[in-house]
Amino acid sequence: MGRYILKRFVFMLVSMWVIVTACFILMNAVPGSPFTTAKMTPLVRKQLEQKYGLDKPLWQQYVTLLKNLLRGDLGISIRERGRSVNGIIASRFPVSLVLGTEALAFAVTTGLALGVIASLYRGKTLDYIAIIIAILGVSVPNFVVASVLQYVLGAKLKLLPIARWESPAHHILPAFALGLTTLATMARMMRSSMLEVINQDYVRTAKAKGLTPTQITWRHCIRNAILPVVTILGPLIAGITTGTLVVERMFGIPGLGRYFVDSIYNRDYPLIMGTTVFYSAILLLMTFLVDVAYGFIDPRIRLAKGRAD
Amino acid sequence: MGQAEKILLDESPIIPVYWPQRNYAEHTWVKGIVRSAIGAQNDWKYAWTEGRPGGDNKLSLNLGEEPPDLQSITSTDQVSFDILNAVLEGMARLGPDGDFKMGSGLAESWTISEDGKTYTFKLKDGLKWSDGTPLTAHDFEYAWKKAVDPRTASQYNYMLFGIVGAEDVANIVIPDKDSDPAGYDKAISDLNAAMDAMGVKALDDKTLEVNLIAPNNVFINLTSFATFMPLNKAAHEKWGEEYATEANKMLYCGPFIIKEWQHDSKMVLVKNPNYWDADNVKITEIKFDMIKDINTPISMYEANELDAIGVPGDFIPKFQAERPDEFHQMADAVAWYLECNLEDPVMQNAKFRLALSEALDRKAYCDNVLRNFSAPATSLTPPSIHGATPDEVFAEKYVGKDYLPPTGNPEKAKQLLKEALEELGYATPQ
Repeated sequence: MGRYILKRFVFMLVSMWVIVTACFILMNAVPGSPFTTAKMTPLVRKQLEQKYGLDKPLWQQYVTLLKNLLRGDLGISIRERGRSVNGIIASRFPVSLVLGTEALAFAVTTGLALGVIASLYRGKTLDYIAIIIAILGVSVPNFVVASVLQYVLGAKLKLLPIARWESPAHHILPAFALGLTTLATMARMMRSSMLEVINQDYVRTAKAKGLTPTQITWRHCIRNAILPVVTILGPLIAGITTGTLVVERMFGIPGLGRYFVDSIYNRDYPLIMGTTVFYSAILLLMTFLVDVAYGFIDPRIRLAKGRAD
Repeated sequence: MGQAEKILLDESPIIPVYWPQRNYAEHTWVKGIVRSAIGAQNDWKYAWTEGRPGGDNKLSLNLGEEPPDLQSITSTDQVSFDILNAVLEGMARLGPDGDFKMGSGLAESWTISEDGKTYTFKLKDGLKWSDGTPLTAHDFEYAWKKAVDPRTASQYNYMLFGIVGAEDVANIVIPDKDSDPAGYDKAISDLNAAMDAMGVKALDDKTLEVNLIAPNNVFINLTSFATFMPLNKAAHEKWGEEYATEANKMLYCGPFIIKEWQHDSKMVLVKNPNYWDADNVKITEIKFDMIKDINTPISMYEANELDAIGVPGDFIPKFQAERPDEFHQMADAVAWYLECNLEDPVMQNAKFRLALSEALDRKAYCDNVLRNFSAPATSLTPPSIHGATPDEVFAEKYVGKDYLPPTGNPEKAKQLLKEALEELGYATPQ
C-alpha cells in the first residue's frame, strides 16, 4: 500500500511538470501579448515588457517560471496592476470553495438518493420521475436554469435574492444551479450501478438468507454500487470547487471561475499560469486522494496491492 | 486634422466600422447624473434622487467588472475612469451644462499667456487629501512627471506630450540595473535632468505653471482626464506598486471616497467630507455591483435593485415599449474599427485594404447584427466630436459626409481588389 501511494505521488509530480510546460508552450504560441490591444507608443510597450520580464528569451522565462513555481510564487498579474496572483487566488478561491461545497453536498446527497430510489422502483412512476429530473439536469444548461430561477423566484416572486454574494439566502440559487448537472450525473450513474448490483448472486444469497430489504439495500447493494460513483467524485470536486465561470458571472459571485477565461482573453500570462497550476494541483490531488480512498473502500484492490508489495 | 484623417482613410491601415450608441435605462427618481461621451462616462457628483425606494440620495449601480487599475497615471479603461473621476479631481470638472467652467475643479482659476502656451493654475484654498494632508500644486507636478517617467510605463503617457519636454522624459531608455550599472546611473541622471526641464512646475503650494509646445484649445478639458489628476508623493511612494490596489492604499480628493472594496464583488463609495464642494454633493452613498452578465442586471433593475443600467441590443425594443420614460440614448465619442495586420504581405497593400473597407456594408452590420442603434462609421472621428464651433460636426465639415459608403460599394471594391491582386502579382480570378 505504501509503495502504491508513493508511486501515485510521483506520478502526480510528473503530471504537474508536464502541465506547466504544456501551458507555457501553448500560452506563448497563442498570437498576441498582454500589450497588443492597448493603444500605446512602441517605447512604452518595450518598457512594459521589460517590467514583466517578457523581453527575455523564452527559455530564460521558462527557467524563471519553474524557479518561482518551486518557491510557490505565481507572480504579479499584468491586467490587475500590482496584485499578486497568489493573492488573487487566495482571496477568490475560498468563495468558490464555499459555493462548490454547497453545490456538491446538495448534488451528491440528492443525486445518490434519486439514483437509489429509481433503481429500487425500476419501471414504476418514481423511477420515471427520477429519470426525468436527471435528463433535465444534464440537458438544460445551468445558465438557463439560473436565468429562469432568477427571474421567477427573484424578480417576480421576490422569494430569493437575484444576485450578489452576501447573506446565506444569496447562496441558494447559485448552489442549486451549479449542482444540478452533478446531481443528474450522480443519479444516473447510481441508478445503473445499482441495477447491476441488484442482479448479482450475492444479493440473491442475501435474500435467501432472509435479510430484510432494507438490510440488503444498505449493506449489499449501495456499498457495492457506490464504488464507480466515488471514482468520478475526485474530478467533480475539483471542477465544482474551482468554480464555474457561468454561475459566478450570472450571480456576481467573486469566485475564481472567471479568471480561467478572462486571463486568457487578456493574455495575462502570470494569471493564466497561476490559475492553471492551481486547478491542476487540485485536480491531481483529488485524483490522488480518490485513488487512495478507492483502495480503502474496495478490499479487493487493497488486498491485491498488498500482495503485490 | 481633417486632411490627416482622409489620408488615414485612403490608406486604410485601420478600417472604421461603426460608431456606437449608448443605450441605458435609469429609474425616474434618479436625477442629474452627468454623462459624457468621452473620458469618464458617468459623473455622480451633481446627482440626487427624488422618491427612491430604499432611501433617497443613495445609488445602487452595476460597474460590470472589477476596475483593473485605479492608479490614475497608469489607468486606461472606462470602468476605472468612472471611479477615478468620482474619487479624484483634476484642475477642472465637466459640469451639467457640458462645460469645463473655471472653479469647477481643484483650480480656483487659471490664466493663459497671450501666446496660448503658458497656463498658470491657482488652486483653491484649504484643499485636503482624504487623510487630512494638504493638497498642493506639488501633487500635480509629481503626478504629471510620474505619468511620463519611463519607469512608470504609462500607456497614456502621450496625453501629456503637449507639455514642453514631456516626450523627452518618456523617451529615455533605462538599461537593466544589474547588467549595466554605469548605463543605468547615467540614464537616471539624464532622467532627473529631463524631468527638471519639463514644462510643469509648482511655483508655490498653490500655483502650477505649465508650458505647452503649442497652444491647445482643449488643454483645460484634458486636465480633467484621469492621467492629469494629482497624486500625493508620500502616499504613492509609501505603497509603491501596491498603490490603489486596495481601498485603504490610496488617497482621495474627489467628491467621494472608497469606503469598501471587495474585489470582483462590490465597491461602496461614500461622500468625502474633506472635499471642497462637499456641501453641494447630495449623494451620500453609491453601491456598485460587479456583475458581468448582461441579463442579471436587467432583472435587478426591474426589481428596483439597481437604479440605472446599460441596455443591451436585445432588450432595447422591450425597454422602448415598456419603459419609455426610463430608456435613454446618447452618442458615444467612440469609433470601432478593424486594425489591419501590417506584417502580413497581402495586408501591406493599400488597395487591398481599401477594397475591404469599400466592400463592407456597415449599415447592414449595424441594423442586422448589432441592432443597438450604432451608426455606420463612414469615417473615423465620430459625429459627437464637434469642430471649431459646437454646432459644427467635425467629420462632416472637415472629412466629408459619408466619406466611406455606409452600405458599401461592391463595384469599387472589386475594381480595387483586381488592381491589388495585379500589384501583388497574383493571377486575376476569372
